[in-house]
Amino acid sequence: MFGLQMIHEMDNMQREMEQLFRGLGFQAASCDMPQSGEIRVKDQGDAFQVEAVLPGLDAEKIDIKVLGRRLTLAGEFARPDIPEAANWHRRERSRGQFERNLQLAANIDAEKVEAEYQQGILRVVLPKAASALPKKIAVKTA
Amino acid sequence: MTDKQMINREEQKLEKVERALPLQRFTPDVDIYESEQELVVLADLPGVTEQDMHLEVERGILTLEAEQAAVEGVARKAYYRQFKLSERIDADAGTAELKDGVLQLRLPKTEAAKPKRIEVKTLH
Repeated sequence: MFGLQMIHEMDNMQREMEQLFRGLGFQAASCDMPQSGEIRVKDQGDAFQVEAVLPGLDAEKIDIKVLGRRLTLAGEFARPDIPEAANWHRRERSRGQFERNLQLAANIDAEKVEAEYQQGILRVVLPKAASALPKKIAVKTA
Repeated sequence: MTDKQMINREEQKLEKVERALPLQRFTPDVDIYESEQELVVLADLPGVTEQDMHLEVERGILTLEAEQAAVEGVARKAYYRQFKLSERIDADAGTAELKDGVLQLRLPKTEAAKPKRIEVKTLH
């Protein structure tokens, strides 16, 4: 049975052990956490930068909405053309639709939001609304 | 300098290198399916460009390896995964393309491994 398999995974235990010792020791050598869907938010002072790791999205179905301080990211993973009679060996990648909601720490200027999708990473820059930015108060001196 | 001091110095050096280049290692998620004609591997490699990608088949072992180019202030990601391919796969005729952070690798089967239809003659 084993000989008939077209493909099988190599055991990389040794490599992983080496990496474990080479690294800081307490970090996992290889991370099997789902990478797809990971979201990072950075506050850059006058804007938020949101980075979502979403490889293989259907770029036309990416839907980004902003309301007040809420950001909604929605979309669908592209469906590859797979023949019906295909025989599956691994099926680990994300599929179907997704939607994520983020509540940011300040209101957003929805008109100035910019987004780009490159190499499977969706980057959204959300400038804060003028009302959320600190104002410098001039002090009058007599 | 005593041995201990030397060891400490070494460690400090190592630590600096680690901090300068944080590297997160990942096992990419894959889809693998087989049709009558070929074996297709789809691998999630977000943030990877063609230049970062290293793909090879040596002695029937397929290695997917990618390391992101360094960007100031961002932890780099490295991806690594290996598969053993059957002898009935013609890796030389394989094609690969990278799109939206997904690698698609098509590996045709050798002629001998493709299903053949045998005509049945009816004799009268």
